[in-house]
Amino acid sequence: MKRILPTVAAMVVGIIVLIDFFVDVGYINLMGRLFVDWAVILAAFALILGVLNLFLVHFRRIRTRQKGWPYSIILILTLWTVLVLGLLDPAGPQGQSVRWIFQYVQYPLQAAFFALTAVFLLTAIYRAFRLQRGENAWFILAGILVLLGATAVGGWLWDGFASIREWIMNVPALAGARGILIGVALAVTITGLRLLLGVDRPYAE
Amino acid sequence: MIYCPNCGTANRDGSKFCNECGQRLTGAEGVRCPMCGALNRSGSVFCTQCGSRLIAVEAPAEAPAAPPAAPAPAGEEAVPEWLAKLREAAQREVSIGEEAPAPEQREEEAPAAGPAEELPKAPVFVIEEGEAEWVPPDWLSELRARSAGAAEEAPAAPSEPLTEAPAAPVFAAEEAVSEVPDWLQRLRAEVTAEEAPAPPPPGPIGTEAAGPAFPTEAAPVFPAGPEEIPDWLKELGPPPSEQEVIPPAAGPVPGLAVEEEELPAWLREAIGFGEAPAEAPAPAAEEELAGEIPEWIMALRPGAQEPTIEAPPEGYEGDSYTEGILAGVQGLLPIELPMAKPPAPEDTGSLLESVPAEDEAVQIFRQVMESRPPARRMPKPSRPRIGRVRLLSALVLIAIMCLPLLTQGQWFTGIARTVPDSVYAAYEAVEEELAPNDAVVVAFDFDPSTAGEMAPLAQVLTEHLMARGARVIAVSTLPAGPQVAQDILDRAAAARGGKSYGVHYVNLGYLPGREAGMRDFLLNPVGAARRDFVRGQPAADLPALQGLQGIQDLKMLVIIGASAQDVRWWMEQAAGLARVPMIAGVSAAAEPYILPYYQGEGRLLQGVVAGVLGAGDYGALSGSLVSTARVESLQWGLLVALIAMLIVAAVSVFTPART
Repeated sequence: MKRILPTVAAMVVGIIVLIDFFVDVGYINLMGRLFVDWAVILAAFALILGVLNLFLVHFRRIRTRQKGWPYSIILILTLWTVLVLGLLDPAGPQGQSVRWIFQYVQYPLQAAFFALTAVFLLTAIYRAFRLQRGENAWFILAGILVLLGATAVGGWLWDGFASIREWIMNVPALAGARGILIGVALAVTITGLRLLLGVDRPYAE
Repeated sequence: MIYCPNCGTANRDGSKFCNECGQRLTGAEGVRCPMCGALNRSGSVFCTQCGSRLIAVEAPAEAPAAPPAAPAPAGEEAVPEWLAKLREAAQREVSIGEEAPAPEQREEEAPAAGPAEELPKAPVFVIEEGEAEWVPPDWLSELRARSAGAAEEAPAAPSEPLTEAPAAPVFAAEEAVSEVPDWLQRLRAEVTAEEAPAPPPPGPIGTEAAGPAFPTEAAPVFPAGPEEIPDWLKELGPPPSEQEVIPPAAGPVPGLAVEEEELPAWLREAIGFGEAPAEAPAPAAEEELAGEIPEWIMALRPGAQEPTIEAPPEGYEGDSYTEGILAGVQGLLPIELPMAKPPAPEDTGSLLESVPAEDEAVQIFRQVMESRPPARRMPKPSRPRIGRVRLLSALVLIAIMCLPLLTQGQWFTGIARTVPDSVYAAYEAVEEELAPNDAVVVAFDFDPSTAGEMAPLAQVLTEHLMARGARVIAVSTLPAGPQVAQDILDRAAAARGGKSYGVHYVNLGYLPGREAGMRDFLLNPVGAARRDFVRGQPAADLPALQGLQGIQDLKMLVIIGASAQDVRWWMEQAAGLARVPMIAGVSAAAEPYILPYYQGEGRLLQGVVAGVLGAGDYGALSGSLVSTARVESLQWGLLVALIAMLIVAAVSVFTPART
């Protein structure tokens, strides 16, 4: 019963929501929307649980003096600071204090962190070129052509670079992307069927 | 057919046990070594494991009952060499060659017997009249044929004439007579003449009732039943067919015409003369079997006697016999029981010897194990040095930041650039599909980490929507998205002027549940949002949401996402509910994965704007000047990246390849 009940519930709910996509029957649509509402509420509650779990994990790290526990102190302090400020400010998340933190702390930090990916990409390109394989030659050629077609310098040098870039993006790159998307669609279909049929039960784990 | 060696019953081929008496009909094929027990192939002379000489103990898989009363095979080659020599010596001394009858004579002297078909069921030497209709088995027929041929080719039988055996056992058929060696026939005749036992009733060989044709009191009951023979004897002895062969009776061999006392003890013991020597007592556990097993067999068992050379017997002086039947025989050594004497162990000394190289290796190993490692300071892990690649990367980033400042953002904006078709299609869709006061949902699915690329794109799109007079309804499926969206909305509203929050645009905040939240919002925007993000007012009270019951009331869906997955989820949920015009603003990295939804006949997207360059193109079309500085910076960044890529490619060409 402990395993059968969740499986039956998941299958029934999933099938009803799926049918809701295809038919226009009153009670089916009503039930489908009801289940979707439940899912949204559960997802919001899961977010709260996630925040609480994050707090408990880092609190335990501080108490047991695990490696990197000072960072856990910073995390908990910032967590409670933003939360308290958002609750105390009558404007809520759009209050001056919260917006100031967002504008001058979170925004630059995340942007700077994301900018590091440019360094990683550059080093990865260099290491890939060092291998000196045949496909790397194609890769570097395509990269240079796309850059020339994208930059104003390329257009200033020759108008054809833009057309070459568009061809590369619309033919070879698009073909690869379509293949990936088809694979993703098939995988999603199979995964959905396995969930509906009770073959996979991630909710029971 | 398989005939039981115990009762003679015919069993079907492949039978393992007798239908009548349960006797095992098959056994392990091969020769089992008496010393180590290893099973060797049939016909092997020496054991493959220990080198001991083997005695064939191959069990008859489907052999019928053995030919009767033959201690050895009928052929001459089965006679041991020592016995052949003894025979020759006996022939020379006794000179009985003139009296030895030919096989034909013996056959004539044999009592009249019925036809061959009237042989008893078992190959015994006495038949009864009641069994005249017995049909001989196949094996007996074959034996007859073989015996007949052997009788024709057999040389003249040596030694004792049959005339001296008046009470010879009754041989039922001439084939049976020819099967028995001559010397054994004479032996039978001798025994019969002396003791004249009453012929036992006919029966299968091996049973008590059908015992040997001429048993004597002195002679042990032979053969013993299979269950009476110890295991060791079964392994050492001949196969059951041979075990059932009647051994030579105790007493002197008639054909040799020598007295028992004239033979050495080892020879009497080996060939079964008289009783076993008293100095070879059987173990206590086997005393009970001593009466059942012939002593000559007991003497043959391993350990019963040491295969040592005994003291010279009587009449043996120097290296030859001086008297008796063996007078003049030289070099006659005692029989060395092959199975009783284990082979000399191989010289294993060489295995224990070591070569100098091994000794040296052992010494080195010992030194290493005994020596203590020298105390040395572990080197501190050195800090990784900044490599050329990292230095190059840093220079690229610095150049990207500094060059736009130096050029004041005027170098690249003046260069004409071809607008991609997807960007132009997006602009056209906004221009054509939207009318003033139309409700447009804009999904801001990016956070501050990607805002550097996505914010200009979102801003130009939002400005254009506001310019068209549409009501912009902002949502986000990321927790940090609503804040980013609000900044962009405020800037766009400020840029276009005359736009107020709640009337011309509204921020409904975060939608939890990803796909479920998207679907829930598209089905019922007011019910899903409940309150706005900025003021917390009920969504139903906001003028921007008036008349918006569901996706069917939307005029356009604008999806601005940094990842292709977020954009795809929105498209899937919206397309499943209604046919709403959609355009997408994505990052440059996600562009290849979103373009397929734009191209083709059944396109889901009316247009795609990708990256900062797309934002610049769109801004140029819509008249937005907000992103000019960013486009200028990006152009510089792309140029530096292009140069860096060329440098890296050149370096990689002229440097050795790394595997």
